[in-house]
Amino acid sequence: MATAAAFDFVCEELERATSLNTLEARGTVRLALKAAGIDAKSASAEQLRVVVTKLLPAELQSRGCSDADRVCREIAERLVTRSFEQPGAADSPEAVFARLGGR
Amino acid sequence: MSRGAPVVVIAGIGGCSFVLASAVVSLRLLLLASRTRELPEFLIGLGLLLMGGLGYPIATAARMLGDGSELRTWLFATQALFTLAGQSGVVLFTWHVFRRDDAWARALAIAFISSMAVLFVWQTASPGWRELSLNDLGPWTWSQYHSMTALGWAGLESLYFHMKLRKRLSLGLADAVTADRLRLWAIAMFSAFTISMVASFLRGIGVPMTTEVMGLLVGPLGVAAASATWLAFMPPHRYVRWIEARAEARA
Repeated sequence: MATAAAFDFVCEELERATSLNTLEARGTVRLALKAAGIDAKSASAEQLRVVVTKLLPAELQSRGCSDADRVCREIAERLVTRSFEQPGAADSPEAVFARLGGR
Repeated sequence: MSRGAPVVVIAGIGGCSFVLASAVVSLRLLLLASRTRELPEFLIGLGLLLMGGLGYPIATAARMLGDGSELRTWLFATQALFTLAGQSGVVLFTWHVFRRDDAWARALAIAFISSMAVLFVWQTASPGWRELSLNDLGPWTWSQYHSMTALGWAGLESLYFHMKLRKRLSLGLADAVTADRLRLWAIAMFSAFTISMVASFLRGIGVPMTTEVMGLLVGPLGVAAASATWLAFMPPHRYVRWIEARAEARA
């Protein structure tokens, strides 16, 4: 399953900043995204920034990662300085249902 | 007044509100589709118009006509054609909006439409629509399972995505009114699904589908489906403000 570019970026940054391996880093971010009701394949940079800031620290702490808050804050800062392609955002169920009600 | 009269009134209210909401909302969505040139609004507008706005009143009129009339047979066939096109619209909408990248969903949509088309052609070839209108016989009777599939799938996908949006709402990543719209669409689809399922079950165990039985079923659930459809796609400003205020209070 193809994942969003912003998701891949966060996972790579997390792997670099912690002792988690690739699978662990991706699994941890996926769990945080799932708790937020977001799919890894369609996650936008803004959605990931919020998840990294608000949910990822607790996920990392539960895996024994020291200084989780600092790691997440730095990843979120790097995330906003990058631009990511966001394919299919206008066709998402959320966008379609917003349009159907005239919003 | 006969004993069954109140039930007929309940059925009338449920049926009429369902037809009215389907017709008005479908026209609004088709107008939207003509402006945006987008497929989802066209598919859902077409589905609502053909199933609720036209198909349901045609089916009611057909059942009110005396047995054996040519017009009754013709109306049965027309309603079946509208059901085929309308439910195909709903299934294509569900696939296109929620599961476009999933091969199983594409296969399900194709299987749904092709098998329903086969039933329509089969009924037309033999034993014909007259047999269905007189004795409720023929392969088209199996299309009740198609109805349940189309409505149930639409309801499940809407509910599932609504639950995702509720999680996002708590993080400020979703619009409360859009999340509520998905919930309302799920309610509308599950109401219609329940009518199909219970009617199918009762028919299966040999309960005659009298006006009273259908009235008890269609009355409340028809009103539920109509209200949910109306609030989803033509919400009054007051309702929208209430949803927004409730979301703000929870944030």
